Amino acid sequence: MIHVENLVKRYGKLVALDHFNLDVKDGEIFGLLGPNGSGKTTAINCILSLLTYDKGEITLFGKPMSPTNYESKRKIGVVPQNVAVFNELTVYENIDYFCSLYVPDKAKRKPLVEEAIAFAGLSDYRKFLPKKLSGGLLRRLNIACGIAHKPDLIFLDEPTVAVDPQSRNNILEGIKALNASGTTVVYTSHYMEEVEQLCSRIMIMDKGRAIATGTKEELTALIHTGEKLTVEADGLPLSVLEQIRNLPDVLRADYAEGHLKADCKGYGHPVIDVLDLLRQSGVHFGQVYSEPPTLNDVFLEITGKQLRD
Amino acid sequence: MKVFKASLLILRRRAAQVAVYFFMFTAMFIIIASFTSQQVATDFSAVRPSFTVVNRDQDTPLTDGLLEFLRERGTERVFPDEKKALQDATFFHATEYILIIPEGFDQSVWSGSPLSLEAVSVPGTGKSYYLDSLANQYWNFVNVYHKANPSLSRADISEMALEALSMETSVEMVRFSDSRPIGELYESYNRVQSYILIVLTLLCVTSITMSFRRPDLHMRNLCAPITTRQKNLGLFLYCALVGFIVWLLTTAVGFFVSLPTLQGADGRLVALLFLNSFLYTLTALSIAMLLNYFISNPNTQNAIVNFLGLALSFLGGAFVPLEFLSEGLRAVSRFTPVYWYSEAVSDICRLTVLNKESLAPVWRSFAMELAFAIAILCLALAVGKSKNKAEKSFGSIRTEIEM
Repeated sequence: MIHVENLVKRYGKLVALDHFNLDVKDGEIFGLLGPNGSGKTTAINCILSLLTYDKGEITLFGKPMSPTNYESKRKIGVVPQNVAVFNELTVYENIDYFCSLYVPDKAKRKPLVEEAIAFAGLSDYRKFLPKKLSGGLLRRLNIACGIAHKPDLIFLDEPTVAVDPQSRNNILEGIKALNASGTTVVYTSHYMEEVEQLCSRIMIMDKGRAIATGTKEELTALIHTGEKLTVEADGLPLSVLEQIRNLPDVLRADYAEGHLKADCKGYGHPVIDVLDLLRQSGVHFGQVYSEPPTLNDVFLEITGKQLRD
Repeated sequence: MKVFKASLLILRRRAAQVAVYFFMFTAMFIIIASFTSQQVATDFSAVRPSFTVVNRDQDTPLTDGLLEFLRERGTERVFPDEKKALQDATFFHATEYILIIPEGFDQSVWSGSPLSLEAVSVPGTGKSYYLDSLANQYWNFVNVYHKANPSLSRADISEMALEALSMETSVEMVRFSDSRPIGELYESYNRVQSYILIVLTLLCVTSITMSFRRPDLHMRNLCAPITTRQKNLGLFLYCALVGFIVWLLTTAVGFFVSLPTLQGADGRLVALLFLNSFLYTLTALSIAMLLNYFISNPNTQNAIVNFLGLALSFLGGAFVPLEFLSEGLRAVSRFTPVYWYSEAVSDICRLTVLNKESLAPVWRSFAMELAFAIAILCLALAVGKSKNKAEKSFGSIRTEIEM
């Protein structure tokens, strides 16, 4: 559905996109994950022909994308990062206006607008002006304006920024429902939990480059870090800590404030070995936690920095 | 039509702001009009000052005549010829003027070398001058008639003097404006109309363009399958409709409020004034198109609209006639469209004959207004083009592919 090849975009000396490649398949939720300034929004704006670019090729629905490719534009829905609605129009009027740009026929448009209002949970606010809405409701309005015309492909650019947890869950559930109805979704975020929860395939970006692409499992398999083990233990001797560090499936181990933390290797499961060692050494331990590796670990291992740096 | 309809919806939400300007202007004008149309006083009643005549001479027809003359124009108060009584009378304002006829006065008048009359008056009042003047007028006539015909008796002379003094001339007040082809009130309205026209047009147009030029909304519109031509056409239709409504409303208000003063006015002149304000609306629309590139939020909008509206209207003579401006300001004002608008208003309101020669200055002013509209529109298009280039982002794409 989307094919981007060797896309380069420069802002003066700054390279915002550096030979960026992307393939999005029909029916998937594709996540673009990266810290702020990694090039996610620039990539989307180039794909949508909102930005000029220096090199590369962009194809949407099998046709080269350009500002005048209205046929492709008609099938696309865009939910921008900032809430882009008219402050002077009500919820209903805003959705109706943006839908009318795609669906001129009023009779056909009306049920679509109603559906979008119901989808975004804005039925009680249809006559409200945007300034009367909370941050979460505004975000929902922003989404409703982008999806009302039932596009085949939707770009959602960080739609949950500054949204409370309840609204965020509503938005994520809505996106899943959209995808279930056959819409392809391109979702950008710097919240890895959202991307993990939502996306069928993920691209991790940094400094304008795609550093890894695949499913969550494929991405976590790329790195050496496996599960993370945390054990509540009182008075762990240094010698025991050294023995734990020397276990074959342990990458790193540290002890601080009564907690032993150990990073395990990709496919290793050293939980039993660690607990046996503690028992044999006479160290009393309490609760034991084990977390699978996250996308942040993937990002950390590849780039040497945290996603939220 | 989507952009056009959305623009109308947005304007509806901002209608209160526009209405405040419109109703303030209309109310202001109606108040001014009501003051202007008030009847000017055409008659008055003369003041009747109080006076006292102390005759130390003998009673003669001449002194009787003077008393009769003064009684016609004032109210006589009689006091005894005692110094203290007379002082009290003036001190307590019992009388405002005391005329003392000295002994032998009648004889002195008759002999041709009259003695001086003595007068005492309340200080700080103009009425003594009036009564002095009346007494002098009487004695002057007596002198004239006596010298002209010494054979006339005192009674005859007194009678003739009183007759002469009773003659009045009727004065008719003719107002200049009544003889003008277009009343002063409607002319004033047309001058001030330039202010409200430009303010309302700028407000209505920039309110919409300001919204559509918001970067996030601009981007969202660019994502949609709507051509720039369609969008611009919608905005153009909106501007045209708004301009027409603003012109129609302000023109109708002026016309109906000034209707009583337009009775008998030449309809062709009124039509020319309509055309003049319509041409100025086109200029205002062009200015609005230009300004939309510099107005990004409501605060800037209000500041720019008010400043520009007041400055242009002041320079163009909407509030203060150009004659009261300095030479320098008048020279500057020629480079504003309002100047030519005001010139056209002045020329049209003074047209008594409609022919090629008399209409030439009017056509010239119309042409200047139109030229300003076209020039400013061209400038707006040029600014728009350069702004789009500067943004270097939305709406264009380079498809150079590295091989």
